[in-house]
Amino acid sequence: MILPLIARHAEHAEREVGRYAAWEAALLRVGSDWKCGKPVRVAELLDYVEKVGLEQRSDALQDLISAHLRLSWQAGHGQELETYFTELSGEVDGQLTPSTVPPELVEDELIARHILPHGDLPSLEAYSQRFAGRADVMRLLEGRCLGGGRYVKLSRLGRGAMGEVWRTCDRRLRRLVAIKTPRAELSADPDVIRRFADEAVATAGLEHPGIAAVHEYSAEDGALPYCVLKLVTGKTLGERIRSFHQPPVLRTSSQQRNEWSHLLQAFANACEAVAFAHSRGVLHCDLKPANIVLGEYGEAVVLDWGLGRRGGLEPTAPEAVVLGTPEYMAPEQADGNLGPQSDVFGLGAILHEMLTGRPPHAWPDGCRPADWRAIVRQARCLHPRLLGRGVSRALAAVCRKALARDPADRYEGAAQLARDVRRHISGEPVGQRGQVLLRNVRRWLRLLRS
Amino acid sequence: MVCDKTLSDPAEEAIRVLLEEVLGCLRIAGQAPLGSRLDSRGTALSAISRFRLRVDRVCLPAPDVLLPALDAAVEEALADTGAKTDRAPPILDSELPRQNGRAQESRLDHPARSGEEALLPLAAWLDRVYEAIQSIDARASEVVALRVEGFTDREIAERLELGLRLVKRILCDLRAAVPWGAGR
Repeated sequence: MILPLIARHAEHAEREVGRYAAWEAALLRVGSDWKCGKPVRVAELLDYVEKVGLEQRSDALQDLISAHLRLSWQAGHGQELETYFTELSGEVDGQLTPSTVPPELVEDELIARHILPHGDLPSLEAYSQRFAGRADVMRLLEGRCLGGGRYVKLSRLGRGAMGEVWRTCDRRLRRLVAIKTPRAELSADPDVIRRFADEAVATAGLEHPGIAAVHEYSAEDGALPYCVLKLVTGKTLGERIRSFHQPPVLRTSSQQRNEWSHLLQAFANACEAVAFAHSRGVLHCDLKPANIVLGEYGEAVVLDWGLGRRGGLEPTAPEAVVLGTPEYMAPEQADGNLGPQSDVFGLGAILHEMLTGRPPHAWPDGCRPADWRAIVRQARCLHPRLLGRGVSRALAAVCRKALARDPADRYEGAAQLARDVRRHISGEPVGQRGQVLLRNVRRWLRLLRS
Repeated sequence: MVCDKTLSDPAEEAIRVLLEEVLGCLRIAGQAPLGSRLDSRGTALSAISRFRLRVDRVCLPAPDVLLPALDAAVEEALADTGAKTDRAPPILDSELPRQNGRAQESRLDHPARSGEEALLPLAAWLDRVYEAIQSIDARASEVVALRVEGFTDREIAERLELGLRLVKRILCDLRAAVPWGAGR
């Protein structure tokens, strides 16, 4: 069913009026032919660019070579660039030879050959022999490598305020890992480097299935420091929440119930991972659905401990005010006061988004206002039952307690929050509602006495 | 550029959001009560700084109308609140993307004007940008929207399943299509 759709899409793209429609259609057709089980031979690439205008043909052919390299190495029968030189040289401006090949094409080959880590993994030395005298090529390839060529960065998985994470091939152990580095433009800032090292040490001490394991940390003189982590593949909780709240066009109600049950289990697992970190004196400080990945084996892994605090849970310096994500931020965090309850608020904010499809601090038109700190400090979160249809009373009460404005009114820790969510999952009554009532009665009594 | 498709929502939206962020901050800087003045000014400067960085990320020269207009509007807004303009760190030249030193020269060439006066060329420039953006096709608008978000050419190519060279061509066309300079 899918394949005819792909083919139709390719045809449609070809018909579409646009300056580069033929170029785009050629790329799409090469991909769809491979997916349809029709491997494309190198010489056949010329047929695909027949309809591309002369002025674009050389560049289009190079894009096709890139795509072909990726597809063929992924399929396990890739060929080195020299094959393309032999078969297509006259078709590309400036000829394709080792001394004239565009450096990006060599980079494409390096990436394509490392996508499957159990295949043939050429070293940088091999490239320097093949492209002797090409300093531009080697500069580009060296930029892709870390640890003296042991790690080859394949694609960027994400980027935060201070660092970025790459899907990486570990050539020595022949496996895919994640590598985190500070952002290149911040690498001269000693504060960033210190914080990066702190994060590596903090995360390395957290051996828990819900926290990505640190394999290695390297900070050699003159080189960009990096941290090698377990690669967790899967969708983020944020993506899963978005798809859950989309209109259920193709889902039955039982599928929806299952999906909700998976989300709640993942959330409880994440709460337990955070509780474990708290027990080791580490705060996360930036909990949000985008920082939780649901792995392919159903595990929930909490990522990005870059803003975390360790060595005690005392309030931090005012500079920390700017750290965190305002949409999920605890009111006291906006003033630089952090504690385990700030993370409890963050978890409550995640639960709020799970229940209603939006974070507790959602801005009009999706644009964060300049005075967001004042809004966060007020913490006027709407009741989840006002925002979402069919939200369970018990879970709404759990969410409300986690999102209480006063940290003292929240759960004592993430473990207590996880316990209540698990009780709800197993159909047991959640003690929260009774406790809230009791607390309110006590407050009224105190007020009456005074 | 010849194209049937007229509206390019993501690109237009991206630029609209960026500009609204800056202008919103300027308004706040101009109206904030005394107690939060410094904070607002800092936020405005930070937003402008971010805006410039993002403009630079699209690989387009910072428009020589926009920057002095923003500078003058900030000065004016700060003067309205009673803040000493000489205390206000001018949008730091060293931390901002500059193209051919043009922006720095233009700052010297444009003494402080009233906020409204300063925003007039900005408004005119915006009109020209919107006109140009409306002629960009849907694919190009997807490319520019990702560029504004900070993705590299290679990442845009991967996300949109395009080739690296095709992305470069589209961005090159965009540079030619949008009037990023005052007199062009």
